[in-house]
Amino acid sequence: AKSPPSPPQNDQAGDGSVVDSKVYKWDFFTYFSSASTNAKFYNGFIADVKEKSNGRLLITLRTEGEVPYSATEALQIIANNSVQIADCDTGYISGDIPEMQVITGLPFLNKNQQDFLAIDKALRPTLQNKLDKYNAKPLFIYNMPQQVVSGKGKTVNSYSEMANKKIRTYSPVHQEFLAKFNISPISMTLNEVPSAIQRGVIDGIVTSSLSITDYVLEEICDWTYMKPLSIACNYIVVNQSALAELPEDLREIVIAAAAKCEAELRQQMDEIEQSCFEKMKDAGMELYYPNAEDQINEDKVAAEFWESWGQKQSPEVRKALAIAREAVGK
Amino acid sequence: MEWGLLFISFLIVLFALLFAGQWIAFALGTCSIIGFYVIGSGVAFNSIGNVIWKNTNSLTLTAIPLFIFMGEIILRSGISGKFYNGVTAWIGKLPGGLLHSNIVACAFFAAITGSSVATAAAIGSVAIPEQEKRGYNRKLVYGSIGGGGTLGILIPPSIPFIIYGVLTEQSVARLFMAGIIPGVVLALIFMAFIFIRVKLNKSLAPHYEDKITWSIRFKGLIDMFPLIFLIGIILGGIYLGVMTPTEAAAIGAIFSIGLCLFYRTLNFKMFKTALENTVKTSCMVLFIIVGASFLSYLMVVSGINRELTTWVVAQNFSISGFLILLVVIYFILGCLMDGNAMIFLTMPVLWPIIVQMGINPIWFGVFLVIMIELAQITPPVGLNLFVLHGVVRKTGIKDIGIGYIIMSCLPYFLLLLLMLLIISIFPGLATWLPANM
Amino acid sequence: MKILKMTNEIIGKLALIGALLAGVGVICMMILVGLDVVLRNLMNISIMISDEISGYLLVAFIFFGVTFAMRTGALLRIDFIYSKMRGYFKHIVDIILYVVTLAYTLILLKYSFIFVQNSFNFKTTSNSMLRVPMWIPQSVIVIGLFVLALQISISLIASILTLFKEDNVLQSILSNEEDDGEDQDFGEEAVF
Ligand code: NA
Ligand code: NA
Repeated sequence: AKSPPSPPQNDQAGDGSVVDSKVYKWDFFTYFSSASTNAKFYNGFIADVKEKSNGRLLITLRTEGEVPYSATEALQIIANNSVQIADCDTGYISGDIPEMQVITGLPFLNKNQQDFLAIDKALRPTLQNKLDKYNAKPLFIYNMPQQVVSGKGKTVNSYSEMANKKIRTYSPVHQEFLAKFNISPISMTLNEVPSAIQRGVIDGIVTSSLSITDYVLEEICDWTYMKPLSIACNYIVVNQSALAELPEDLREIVIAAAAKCEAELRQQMDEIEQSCFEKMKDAGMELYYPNAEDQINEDKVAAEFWESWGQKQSPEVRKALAIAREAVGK
Repeated sequence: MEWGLLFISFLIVLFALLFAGQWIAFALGTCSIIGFYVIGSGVAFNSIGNVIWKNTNSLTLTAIPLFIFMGEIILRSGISGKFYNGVTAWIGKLPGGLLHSNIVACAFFAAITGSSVATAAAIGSVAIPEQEKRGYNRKLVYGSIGGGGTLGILIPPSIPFIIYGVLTEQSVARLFMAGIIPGVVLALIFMAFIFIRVKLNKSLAPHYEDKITWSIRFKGLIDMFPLIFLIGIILGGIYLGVMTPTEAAAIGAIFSIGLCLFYRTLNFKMFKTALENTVKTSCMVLFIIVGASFLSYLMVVSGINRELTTWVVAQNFSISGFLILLVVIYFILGCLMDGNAMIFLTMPVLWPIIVQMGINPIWFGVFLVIMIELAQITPPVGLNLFVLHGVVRKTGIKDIGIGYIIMSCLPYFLLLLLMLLIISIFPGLATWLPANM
Repeated sequence: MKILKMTNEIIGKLALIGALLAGVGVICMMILVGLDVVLRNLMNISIMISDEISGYLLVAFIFFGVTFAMRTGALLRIDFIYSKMRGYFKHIVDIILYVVTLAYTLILLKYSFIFVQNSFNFKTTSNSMLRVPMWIPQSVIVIGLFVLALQISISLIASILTLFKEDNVLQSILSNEEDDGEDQDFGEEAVF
């Protein structure tokens, strides 16, 4: 039962002598399951806020199974204050903010944290403009480990060798790009993927090493093509009014805890990624690093793809693409 | 224990609405909306649209109308009747004779429809008139179909397994594997029960004096072929990786139509009736799912789910104590609601505890589905009972009340409890196959 | 009476059209998913949109079909007490049940409408290749609930009027189940 918190009455004097003892209760929506690595970081953030505020701001993590929202609805439930914090995957919310596709889906454009931060910095005014419609504002942002193609069977040594293979990806931009190499993109619920790969319904999947190990796919897959196709990025957004209604000290606690969580996520995601690769190798998967020649060819196809894809988008998205390309110098 | 009081009040409201005769789907929802008012949650009202959209815009749930449609087609085209005759030729002479064929036919039919209701309806409408004619004991006939019908959700494909898998992020394929051995064991237990009953009291079933020749058996095989072919396509398709379990529902429906066209047993009127009944039955089930999802959301916004979780954990139950508690809870819920609704209602509350207690999630899926089988034959909400009652009335037997049907199914209720005990003692029955395939 | 009868017939037509659309929806789902399986296995291509469209079709199926299910008595109720009610008392209980159910349906209608309105105002699209404006598949919920509310309203009106006089028209409105004729198999079994 979370009615929007009412503004504090008694610390307006600003002399700190009157302590506002009202307890604020917030909900934090994420589409990751409560057992996931990401949820652990979010729970750390929540515990941090609780501790620093002496229990005056209690945040509850709500996972997709518990509350009736989908990852795609993250911004709308922020807009109507159903939750105060929401985890937005740039791909999932691209139905609301099409510019987000530039960050997450385009092949070989945004390949690591550095790229992501540069693109975010350049695009932020545009994005914030859109986020304002939903009364939302990023609290912290981070990127997931790189998305790579993994599969079962003989190791593939280039995208061309993936021709005629059935590869699962949820991103429509990936789907379009894979088709350039005669790969058959498949859309399928993640739950069905492990048994589908095992029994050959599909040959592989575009996903991060973290998802591979979360779904124990390393026991089913034989290879990974170690060229990051793209990275998934997360904007943890907060309802601006809810944040503004907090007493100043609580607001500062939230912002500080967010910054701390962001730093941890950025620092540890790399280590997590490395340990996932280790796990995959231990399970007998071959991690294939493509040679320079193949890389150059694939980059060339990608650059052409950015152009042709951009032509089909709205002027706004095309502009965002130009900004992003400039930001990473590609 | 403020939440406890709240929880009990909600239950009282729900029971009052249900017993006053409000439609189950609406009673579940009405109780939830009243709950939203009581706890004064604006967020809950704002989320009504989300609840509806999220619980109906679902690829997984498309399996419900598609499997029901397939069952309807098979039933109306007479393919199921043929199959039943074929089975009779093979096991008619066993003590209990055709009664075993009810169980076997239910088990096979279950394998494809994934729906207990469809199974009981299909086998019942073929078997009851036949066996009435030949002088079988009515109680045994009704019981074997009501009880056998429950096999429909344990033997894959099975809708409750799909729902459970999606809610808890478990592999649906593994859950399906897990259901096979317990399903077969349960069918054997049912048959052993019939065997013993008839051995002890020969007047319960007629004897067959006439010899069943091999040519009759051979003809029986031909009669059984279409349905076995269909089962082979579906299970083989899933196993060989041609399709996912959800897709199997669509393929099953297509092949059943194809078979009917091949045997020229389907006309337009039958097709229309099958479709009409599919709309009715599926909408009934799916609307109950919508109602139940409101109720489970009420548990979340009122905080009851987390409070109850904390309470159960604080009781420090041992795993067996916890499971016994669950049997009691599910029995009560099972009397009151649809099996699928039961999963939706309890999983948000129970799932964290199950994980925390280290209970094997695949095994728990089988446990849960057996509890749902129980729910199908417990009054006042027992889908199989009412389907069976409908079938009996349609065959022109007017003097059989619902109480008689309930009593007929009672032994199967006890046998299902026995099955729970068996998988608790031998968990490998459920976990071995999924771990080794 | 005449107006009431006509209205009932119109709602009956709407319910039937809904059922027809729901039936077509099932067939489309079946063909779409089936085609996807065939194409994937034989030609190695996937209709990327079949899971998305099937989801929308299921929503349409439920909300277009529900009024028909209600009219034909397919919606389950626990009636071991209800079936024993007689006469005046039963009429009163009926009226209360219809009022409660109507209120529930109207609340769902209101908030579903707001939900769809939000999708419309935010211009939200699906994030698949199709980029379907979400308000289109979502508005099916509003349409379906609206027709359902009409159905419940006319039953409510008829059951109130029955308090004052016995009338064949009212009876027929209250028991559409029997009137639709056709094959009642499942409907009958489900109403217990
Ligand atoms: Na089944
Ligand atoms: Na029951």
